[in-house]
Amino acid sequence: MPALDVRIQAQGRSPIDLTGTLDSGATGTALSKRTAQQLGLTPADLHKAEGAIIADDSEVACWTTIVPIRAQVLRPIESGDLLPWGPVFAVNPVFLEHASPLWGLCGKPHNIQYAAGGIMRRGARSVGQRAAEGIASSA
Amino acid sequence: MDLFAVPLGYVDPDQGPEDELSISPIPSEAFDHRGKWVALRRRSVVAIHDSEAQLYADPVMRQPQVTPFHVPASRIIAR
Repeated sequence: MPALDVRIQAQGRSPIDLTGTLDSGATGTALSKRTAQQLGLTPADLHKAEGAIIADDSEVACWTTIVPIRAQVLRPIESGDLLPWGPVFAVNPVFLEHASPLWGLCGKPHNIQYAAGGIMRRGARSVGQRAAEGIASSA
Repeated sequence: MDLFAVPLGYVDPDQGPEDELSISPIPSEAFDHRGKWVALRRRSVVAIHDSEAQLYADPVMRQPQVTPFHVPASRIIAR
């Protein structure tokens, strides 16, 4: 099963680490409202959005936020430690009442804004970077 | 690291070789607990609960490098 550890942070709050399923067929990233709470978002930070269509074609309620959220892929190494890997990217997840973290991909790598002043090795894109580009697609 | 203290696209120059093999963050033992919410640390299962709420109520979740994970109830997670 494709899984990915990601460090995710809402602006002005502390980062948290999540293990989620990588879904190349999903059009965005979905997290739970409890994760929103872990991110330091309050109910006032969440805004009801149009329903999200999940894998069985049913529609469920979802929320979004205008609080900027950034993330970075974490790479497990043999020792078990998690090391940051690839670029820091922006992400706009939807929050569902109940959800296991799902990192969505929809092939819009341009959404990663490679800042001119950032340190970036453009030539070689690691698995982590490619994954990060996909996750950032909903940003 | 504060992810807002660096520009978007920032890559740590010390992150290691690009072509180094990685390993799954999910240990195989996690799949002995299908349908459960588990806490993972250093590729080990350190807590198992029936619900996300129960997992987050577990003090282990406040320890560093612990991540929550919902083990899919079946091998099929999408059609």
